[in-house]
Amino acid sequence: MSTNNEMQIRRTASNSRSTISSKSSSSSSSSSLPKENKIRNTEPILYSEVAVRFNENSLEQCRTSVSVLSGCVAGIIGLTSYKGFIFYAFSMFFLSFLIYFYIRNEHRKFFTSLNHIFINGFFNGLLTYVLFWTFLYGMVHVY
Amino acid sequence: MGQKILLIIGLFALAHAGYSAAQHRVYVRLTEQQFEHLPTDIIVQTLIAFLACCIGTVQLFGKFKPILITAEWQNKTWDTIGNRPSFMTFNHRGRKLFH
Repeated sequence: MSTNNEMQIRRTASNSRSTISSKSSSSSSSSSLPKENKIRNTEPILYSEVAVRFNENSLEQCRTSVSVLSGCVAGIIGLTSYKGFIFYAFSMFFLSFLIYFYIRNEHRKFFTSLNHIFINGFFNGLLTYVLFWTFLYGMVHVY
Repeated sequence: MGQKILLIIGLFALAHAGYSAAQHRVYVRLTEQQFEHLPTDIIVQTLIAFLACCIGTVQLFGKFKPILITAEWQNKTWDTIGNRPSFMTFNHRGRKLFH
């Protein structure tokens, strides 16, 4: 039974290579299972859960380390109050654009939508940023 | 190693800029001047170090895997997937036929 599923998924993928829409036309040749092929018209896309989790994890690592770095920069420069938060927003947008330029041509291959890189984890690094910001500010400007 | 060099240089530059900013602060405090801004070259060095470190971390941590499960199945043939050697039997009549 599992081999039948593998064959069916591979046949659909080789017929419709780069479709995101869920309606994939499966015009397979010499189908020995005609009943399954009629149901096949609204087949959902299969994602590998390990890969999705791995991508989100590495994105989160990038975000945390960039928020640490921007906290250090804000502390050294000596930003205060609202300018610090504006700098945090700027550094998060900067990171999003960097990642987007790195996976420019194949972002659909790695993420289901662009929301993941731009919007979803935006405030995750805020507290880390404030921690390093106050720490470096105290180190450089106060002591 | 070549990927990490940019990150190491950026971190060193950031540490150096921080140390020189602290020294500048001490100097201003000693000469009893009014502290307004850090000198421009320290700010420029900090920002360039930040840029270098960002690019270094994205190169280091930004490795992604393709999420469509068919992406790794494209190159496999049926012979590779359907090979189940533990189901192969050799105890059949070929023993008597071909000897």
